[in-house]
Amino acid sequence: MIRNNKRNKYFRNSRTSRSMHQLRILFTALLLLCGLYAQAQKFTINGTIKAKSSGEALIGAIVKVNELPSVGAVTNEYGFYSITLPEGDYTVSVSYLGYQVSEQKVILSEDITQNIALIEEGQLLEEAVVKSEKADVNLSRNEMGVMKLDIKTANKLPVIMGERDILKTIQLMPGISSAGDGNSGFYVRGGSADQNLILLDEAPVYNASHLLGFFSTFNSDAIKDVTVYKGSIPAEYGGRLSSVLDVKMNDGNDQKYHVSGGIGLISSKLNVEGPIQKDKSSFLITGRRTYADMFLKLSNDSTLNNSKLYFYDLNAKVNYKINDKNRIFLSGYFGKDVLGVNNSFGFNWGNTTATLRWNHIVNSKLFSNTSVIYSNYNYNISINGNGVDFDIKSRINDWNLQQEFQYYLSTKHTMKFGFNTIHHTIAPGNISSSDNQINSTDYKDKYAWENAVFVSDEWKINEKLNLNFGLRGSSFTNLGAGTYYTFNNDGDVIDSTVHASGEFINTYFNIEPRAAINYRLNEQTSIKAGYTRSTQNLHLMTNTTTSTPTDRWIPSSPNVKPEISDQYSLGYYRNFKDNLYEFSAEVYYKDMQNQIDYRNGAELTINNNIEGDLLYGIGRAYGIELFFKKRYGKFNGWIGYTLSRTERKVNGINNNEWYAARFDRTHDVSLVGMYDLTKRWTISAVWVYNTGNAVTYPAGKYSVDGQTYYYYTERNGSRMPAYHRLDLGATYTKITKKGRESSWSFSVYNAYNRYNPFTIEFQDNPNNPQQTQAVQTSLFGIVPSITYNFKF
Amino acid sequence: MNKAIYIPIVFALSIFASCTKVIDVNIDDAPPKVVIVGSINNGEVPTIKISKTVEVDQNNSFPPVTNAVVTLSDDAGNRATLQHLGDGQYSATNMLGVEGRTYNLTVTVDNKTYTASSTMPKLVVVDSLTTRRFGGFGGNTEFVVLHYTDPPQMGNYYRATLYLNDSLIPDIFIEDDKYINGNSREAVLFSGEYELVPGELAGQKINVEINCIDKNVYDYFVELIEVNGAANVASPSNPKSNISGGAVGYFSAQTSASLEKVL
Repeated sequence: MIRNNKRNKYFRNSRTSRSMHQLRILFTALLLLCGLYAQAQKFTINGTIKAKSSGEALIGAIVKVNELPSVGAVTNEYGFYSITLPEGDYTVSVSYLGYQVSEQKVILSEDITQNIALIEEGQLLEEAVVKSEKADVNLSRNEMGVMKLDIKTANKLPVIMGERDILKTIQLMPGISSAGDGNSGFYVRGGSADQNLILLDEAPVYNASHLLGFFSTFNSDAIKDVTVYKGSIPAEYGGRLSSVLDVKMNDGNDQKYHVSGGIGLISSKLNVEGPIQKDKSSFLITGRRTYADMFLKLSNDSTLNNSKLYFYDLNAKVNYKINDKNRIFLSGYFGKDVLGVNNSFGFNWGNTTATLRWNHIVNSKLFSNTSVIYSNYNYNISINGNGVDFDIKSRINDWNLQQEFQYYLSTKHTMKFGFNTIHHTIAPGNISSSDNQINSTDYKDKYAWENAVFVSDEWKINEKLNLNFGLRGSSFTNLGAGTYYTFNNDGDVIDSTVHASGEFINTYFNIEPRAAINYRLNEQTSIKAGYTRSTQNLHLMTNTTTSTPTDRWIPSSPNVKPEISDQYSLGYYRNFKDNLYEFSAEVYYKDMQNQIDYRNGAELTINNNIEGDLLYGIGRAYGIELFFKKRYGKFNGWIGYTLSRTERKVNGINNNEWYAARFDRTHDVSLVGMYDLTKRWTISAVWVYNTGNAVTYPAGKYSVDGQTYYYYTERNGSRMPAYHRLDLGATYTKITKKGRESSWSFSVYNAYNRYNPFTIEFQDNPNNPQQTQAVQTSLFGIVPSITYNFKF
Repeated sequence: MNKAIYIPIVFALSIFASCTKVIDVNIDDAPPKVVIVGSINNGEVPTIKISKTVEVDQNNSFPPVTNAVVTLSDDAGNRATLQHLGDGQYSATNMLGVEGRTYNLTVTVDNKTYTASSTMPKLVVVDSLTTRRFGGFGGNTEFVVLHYTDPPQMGNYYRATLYLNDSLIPDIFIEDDKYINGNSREAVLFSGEYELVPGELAGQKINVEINCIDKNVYDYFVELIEVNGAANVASPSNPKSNISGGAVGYFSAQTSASLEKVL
């Protein structure tokens, strides 16, 4: 199957040859566009950087050439790097947080491949190592508003009920605000929760929460890398308006078998990984299940002990290295939540994703990644018994083909280009019943086809000035079969058209320019500016304050236009004391078009004509984010502060005037500290504060048929009390000489027992029915927890 | 029970047991608005009640509007001026509701005019009422069940008002025939506002008034329940009234039938 050939060394057959030819044409065009020309007598050094102990590819490792201080590269998401230099003798040094720096002498007189395995540092040396590496990546990186979450840090922080949760940890960063207790949703720079693209090994996750929002779907044991893009979003990402949360799963150790796990108060988890064939292939399986409902079984009440409330999830991955140039990965996620009451009410929902990926090093400068991705989210409700019997089902699923090339053209230019094509199937809520008093519905699945092409270039203009610019062209097509409706201003159907299977019903095209510029003022300081346009064609309809499993995704259509956002941002970055401290200040302004809301009383779950209930408007958000971090040492941590404003203006709401979004947060503060008390004890604390949600309080009351109702004026004109909370954590870790590790984690969530508002309800005072009272409900008081983790 | 098991149970329960407290909030009060709640039933005279909204921290005594000019006409050419009977109640003796007719209400208060229109649907007979036991999170209780047959054509809307031992249960029960069209129906009046304890039913008196209402009135109640029913609603706002001109409330031309049962 693999045959060598002079022109194209690897993997050649007629089909790849044709596509290579097309690629070459594309390259030529791109080169002309960029005004570049080839230079003689240059050679390329490329390879993969991995961890020696586990074989895991290291993402974001820094590759430098000692003789040319201005030349460097950062490994991509598969550990690949490529540097093109004039002929000569060089010393290549590779560094990565927590690993020994590796230095290799190379004689560059032809293209060479240099794969490097880094050795993990012992804890004592950590400080020295970090100092020696290029720790100013925050200054040199072009993109703005990018946050990388260190899983090790996340694991040190106190968490509710002992469940480590990467979604909760990223909410401690400025610009990313929490949706509150009992809700794993988050808001990025004024975008709503559905405007975040959440990717797990490239597969979009439609509902990232478990247990009605208490926990996220991500089991942190299976996660290798988490990156959040909230400012300038690279051109290879698209489909959501305000941010990208890119989560990569571990590949699995290809050197040794490892078993790790944790036992907590409400859940346990187990992680097994190891080589299938050493250095060539490995696997990883991680599972988690909660058992809060096991306690229900002990109850004497037959209703309680027949009830169910749990979730489980499973991450699995295998990878196989065919040779130095080709590697395939297969990864999957399966999660399910089950809620059942007394066998008469059942409710389950979950995500399934699968990714088949092929990494191919076409040549020393060209890296290719091809993925086929499946993603599914569905829910089922069944009600059975006492003469009532019906099921409600809904589903959304995607098939996605993604191709990306990374082209390391020269020391000045690194390009990315590729395409993405997704077929969506959206099954609206349907009711089915064997009960002859309920008629089943037969709302047809909706189909859509989403396409994108993108190209971007990272251009090192000179030692001080870097430019990253890109373009994404996207399209969204509603496909038949299907019936599409036209509505009048009251939302009543006035016309309908029936389309045949496969028919192109309506297509939207959008051009999304992305640009970021970085000017390095000096060793310690840089300033950056960015512009991002993004679009969104799948919209989540939710009518409660928390995310619920029945929230509904609807596609763009002749009635529903794509959401469009333009974000402008500007940042100042300064490191102090040899990169021990970092400081940043970013400002942003975001303009959003075609934002969607809906009429009062809209039925969202089972409704074939939901578009008639929608209202459209615009949004704007602006703010400043300050971040100060101590990066290493016995004590480290950060302070984040955001001052912001988020508003919406929707035809038919609030007299068509601007109003604050519910999640508008004037002030948002996070304080995070971790301290290594002794070799074995680490303590940590987190304090958060934010302005209360913008809510609508009544402005009067009246009586209808003997009951009191409230009269409302301005939308979201009032504020809930402020939210603040202190969490404390301590971890005791013991490592035996054989390398077995066990740890106890203690955490206290909401240590000073603050009753933060979840909802505020107005009602007649039960002691004096003539009077009205405001009742605040809080979800959590103080919650202590303990978790035991092990690894061997 | 073993203590080691007991502790996590208490713990697990405390996790999901939420805490509530009464808080002080700042309210920006709106100037008083006119509230119109009116109906005309088949074979009956109209009853229109007009009052005004009050501030949230005032008592629940809503000032009646006594100087309104109220007229009602139908599409058969009948027209009546309603008289004030006291306490903001208006009626007329020379107009009785008829199925299928459209009624137009005009109310003028302080030189502002409010109008509403509603069409009385055909009467659907509710055959009987029973009770049935349900188990759930909140324990076991019986609920009232209405038995009726929905007519074959789509577009029937129902409202029930429940009285237990002659006291009004403060809940709105409504149903449309979207999923039940043409079927023999057993509609359960689920509510947290009343409790019928199994085994203690004997002698309890149940009265239900059943109205067939038009779509606009049904939609009004859907919104009224949504904005007032759940604290978790993202953005409460006023339900869309079928009264134009800025008044709060509704006007319904409706059929009415009552059932009574002593268990």
